[in-house]
Amino acid sequence: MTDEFEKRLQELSRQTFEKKLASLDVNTRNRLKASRQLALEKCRGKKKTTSTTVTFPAWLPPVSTATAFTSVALVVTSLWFQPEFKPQTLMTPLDDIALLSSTEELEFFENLDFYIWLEDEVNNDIKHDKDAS
Amino acid sequence: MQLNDFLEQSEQRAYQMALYASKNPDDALDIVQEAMMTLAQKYADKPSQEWGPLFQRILQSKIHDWYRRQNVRHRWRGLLPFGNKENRDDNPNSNPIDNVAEPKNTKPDDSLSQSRAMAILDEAVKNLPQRQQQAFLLRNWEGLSVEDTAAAMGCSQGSVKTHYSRAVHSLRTQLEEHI
Repeated sequence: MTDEFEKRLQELSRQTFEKKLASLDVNTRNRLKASRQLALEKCRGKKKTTSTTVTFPAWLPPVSTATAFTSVALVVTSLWFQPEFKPQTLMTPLDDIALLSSTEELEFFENLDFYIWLEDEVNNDIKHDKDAS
Repeated sequence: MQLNDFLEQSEQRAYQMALYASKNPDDALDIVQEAMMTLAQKYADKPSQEWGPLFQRILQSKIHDWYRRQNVRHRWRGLLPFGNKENRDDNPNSNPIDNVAEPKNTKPDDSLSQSRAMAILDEAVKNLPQRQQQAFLLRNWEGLSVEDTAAAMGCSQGSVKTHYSRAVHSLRTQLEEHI
């Protein structure tokens, strides 16, 4: 409930505040104006930044998510059903060690197939000669 | 209404309100600048009718933050032996009326007593506790309703009524014989 004092207080407050506003010095007014300009510039800067950012269509996120899931599923499926890896040679790690520690020329190992074939040929010739005799 | 027009209309009142709270022109300008920045950066896209309540809310929040920072600063200064120098002359029991400068013209007429009452009120409002001061200024100066004041201060309507009534009671004891 507003009594008489409160009414007079309200009126006096209003007069006091208006007087203070009217007596505001030029320097303070200028500084307030500068603050306002700065705030508005920031606001314009923000709008500019916002307008240059790339906006994606609404359908893109679900589609890209589905594509990612499909790709992962395809990779997993192909790995799951691919034929079991079988090494084409029956070499063991010990063979590698033997290869590395060997004193033979590297050229020998590069032409190993030829030497194996040659050995087979020689063996065949010997066997053929034995059979003939 | 453009944001520039709104801020131009509001900035001086906001400054006075911040000055009442901080009692320091530079701090008051900083508070108003921060409030304007926040409004411009975050709420410029809102309808112009909403700017008023939003700006009051932001401003009161900035004033509140300023108080908290000051409290922390004073607490630390109090711990230091050479600190708190600036407040040594402050007497919490001093009567604000005693601080009011005597008008130069001592002729006892109505306008003189009116300006003396205004000076006493000005000083008394400056010395109100923060929340009472906020409630009083928002209700009496900005003309906000209890509901809008509560929204601006971030508290309940009951708190606003309590703060306002305490402020009026405090001012009554200091001003009753002058108005």
